[in-house]
Amino acid sequence: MILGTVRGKIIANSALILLILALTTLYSGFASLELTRSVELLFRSNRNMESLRDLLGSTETGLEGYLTTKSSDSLKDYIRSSTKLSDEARSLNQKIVQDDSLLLQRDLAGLIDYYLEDTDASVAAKRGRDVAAYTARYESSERSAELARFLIAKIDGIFISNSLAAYSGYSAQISAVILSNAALVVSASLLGLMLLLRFSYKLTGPISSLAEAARAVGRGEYDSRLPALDSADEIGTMTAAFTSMQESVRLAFEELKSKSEVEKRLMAERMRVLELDHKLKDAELLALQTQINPHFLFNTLSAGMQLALTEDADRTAEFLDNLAAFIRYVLKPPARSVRVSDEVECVERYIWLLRLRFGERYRFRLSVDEDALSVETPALLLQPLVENAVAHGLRDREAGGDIRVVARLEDGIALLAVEDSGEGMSREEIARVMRESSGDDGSQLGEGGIGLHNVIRRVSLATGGKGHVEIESSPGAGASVRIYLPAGSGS
Amino acid sequence: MVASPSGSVKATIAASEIAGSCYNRAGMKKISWILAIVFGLAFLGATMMNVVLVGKARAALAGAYLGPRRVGEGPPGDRAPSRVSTEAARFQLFVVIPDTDDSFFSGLLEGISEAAPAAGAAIQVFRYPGTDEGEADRYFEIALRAKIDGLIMYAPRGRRGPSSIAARTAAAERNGVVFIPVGTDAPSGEKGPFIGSGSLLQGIAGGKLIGRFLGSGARVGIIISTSEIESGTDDPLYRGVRMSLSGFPGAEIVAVAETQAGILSGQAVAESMLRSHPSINAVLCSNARDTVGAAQVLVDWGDVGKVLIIGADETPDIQRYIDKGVIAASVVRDSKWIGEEAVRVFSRLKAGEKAPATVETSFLVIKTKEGQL
Repeated sequence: MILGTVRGKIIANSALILLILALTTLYSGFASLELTRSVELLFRSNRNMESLRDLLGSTETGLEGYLTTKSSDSLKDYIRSSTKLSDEARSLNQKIVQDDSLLLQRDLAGLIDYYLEDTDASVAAKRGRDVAAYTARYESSERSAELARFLIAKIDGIFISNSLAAYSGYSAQISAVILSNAALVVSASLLGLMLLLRFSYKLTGPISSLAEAARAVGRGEYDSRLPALDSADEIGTMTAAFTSMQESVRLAFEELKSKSEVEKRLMAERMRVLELDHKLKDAELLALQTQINPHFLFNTLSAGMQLALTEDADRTAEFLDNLAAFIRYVLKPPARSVRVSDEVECVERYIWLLRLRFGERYRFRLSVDEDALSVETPALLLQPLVENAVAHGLRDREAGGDIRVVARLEDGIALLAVEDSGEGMSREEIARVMRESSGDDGSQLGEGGIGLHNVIRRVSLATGGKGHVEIESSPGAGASVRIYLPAGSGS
Repeated sequence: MVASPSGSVKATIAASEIAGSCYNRAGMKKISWILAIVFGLAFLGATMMNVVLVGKARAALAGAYLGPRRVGEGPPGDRAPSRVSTEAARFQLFVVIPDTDDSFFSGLLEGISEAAPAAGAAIQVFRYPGTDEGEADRYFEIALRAKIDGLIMYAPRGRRGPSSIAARTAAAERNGVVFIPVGTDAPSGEKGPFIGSGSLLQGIAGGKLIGRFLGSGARVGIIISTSEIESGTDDPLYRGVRMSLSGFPGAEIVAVAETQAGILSGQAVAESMLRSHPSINAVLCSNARDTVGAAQVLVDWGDVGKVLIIGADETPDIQRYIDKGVIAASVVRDSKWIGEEAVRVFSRLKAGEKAPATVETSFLVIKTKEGQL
């Protein structure tokens, strides 16, 4: 339906405004025309009187012509004029009403009848060649004509007087009519203007909202909502489509935003990896640097050993030899895989060095199963445990401390254990060590926990979780740290 | 809101801007509606007012063109009685009277106007200048030729020939028009209906009043309207005064003066007469106009009370002078009754009754300062 479209609405609204203005103009013109016609009405009676006067004159002329020449043309003129005069007289008022002009019309009608009786009688007498008769009737008719003209003038006077009085009343009203006409036109124009404003707001309101929403979308604000528009025209369709599009764009942007967040997190992770990589490089560099020094240290220790042999200081040479071998083993990369035999050898050298330091203060025993020596194991598992046992478990023992190192194979599982008779650990300490070792966040380690922690983690990492460490201890009853490794495990 | 905090603020602002613009539009919409209603009402009001005013303007035109004429609305020379009837009457009645300010004729017309509706007659009043008998003849002739039903016409004394009452009565009879002459005194020697006031009776009444006030010492001056004068001492008014004064030996009529048409004529004649005859101590007037004129002379001269004035008829001016003692008394002719009687006679004649004899009203009222005698 065309009224449901914007074009239809514009046409309908414009037509309504034009209709109001057109009706106003038509009414104003019609009223003016009616007033003009009313004014003409004022003088209609005077025109009737003028017509009567003319007919009276033409009848007289015709009669005189006939009476003087007796010509048929004059007679025809007379008959034509007198007939018209009679008709006009009959159109005058015949009623007896208390009104001066109406009664005068009645008088005039009677006079004209009287006049026509005389003229007809005069014509008849003329035909009968009765000179005296037609002369007398002619003179009588002339008197009637004179009296008729007198009455016509009197009626004219009344009509003109009345017309003037009426025109005075009319003039008194006409200025008010003109003013009200002006008020009518002005109010119609203002009404049209207001309707125009009303319709323009109605039509452009949704468009403005749409434009506002489009600007908001342009600024990247997709959450603005268009007011609901209950319209089936093009603007309503556009609004619905825009709202739908806005929703789609908003969802797409939210999705993009989500992806962006993921990418941002990924990027941060990469940055962290890069940073770690960078740190690793630094560490490797540092490691290289540290590898330089051991060579120097080993060479120096070897030189010292040679010097000791040269000077026959065999014990010093043995010391330097064991120290150099121990340091060489320790300073190798800890993530490497070695055999249990290597571990045992490292522990033996370490114990030799400890005995050199502590004498017979501690008693060391090694219980090593031959079958277990070939089992692969992460490097440096036993030495840190022995070091912990000496540094922590037996620290407060002046003498009599026992440390037992075990290595055996049980049902395909290699058991590496370090047992001491030291102070032992409480249940809470054991739980804390195990908890800290299982975490991956490098949380704060307790005293002496670094070595044990390192061992536990490396066992877990090297065996892929198949190997594990058990701690059995109680305060004052020593401690036993047992490492279970699947045979064939290693880095 | 899913967006970032900053995005959420922006979206809120945008939504509020849209809501604000919607609110502004809603405000403008409301205002435009109110103004549209206001101007619509103004439009309707102006239209209604215009329709009413145009209607009034047209009514002013059409009313004058079609409506019945009222007194004061018609032409000056065609004063109709102060009543309007749009109902059709049975008879058309001409009234032909002099165009004079004599209250006799206004009373006469009042009587005719009041009696006409009862007689089923619509009246047409034609006035002619008091001295222009030709104009009166013209109206008479129009009445006959237009074949109206009746004609009440003032018939002064002393007319002869075609203008005589007898000749007019005969002519009217030939044309089937009822002719009723009215006036002050019936022409002597003429037959037919006539309705008048009777100047003889008026003179008798006036003479009696003068005799009552002045007795034998009365020196009387009489002012008579020209239209009414017959021939000096033959005037009925004069004869009536003389008859009354005969009862007061020594009282005499010193002067008789005639007045012409015009409102100042009576004053001029009274002044002239009183100057010419200083012995006059009583003035008798035949009509209201002359009465007021004579009284004005006494007021102007400061001679109020020195000359007795007996006036005629009753007007507000005469009543005022009576109240002030300038005029001693006034003999009021009942011209209204004459008018009424003329219409009654017309009705009887139209009904086929025999024409009545001359009727002269004997109903005179004497007005004095003390009241009606």
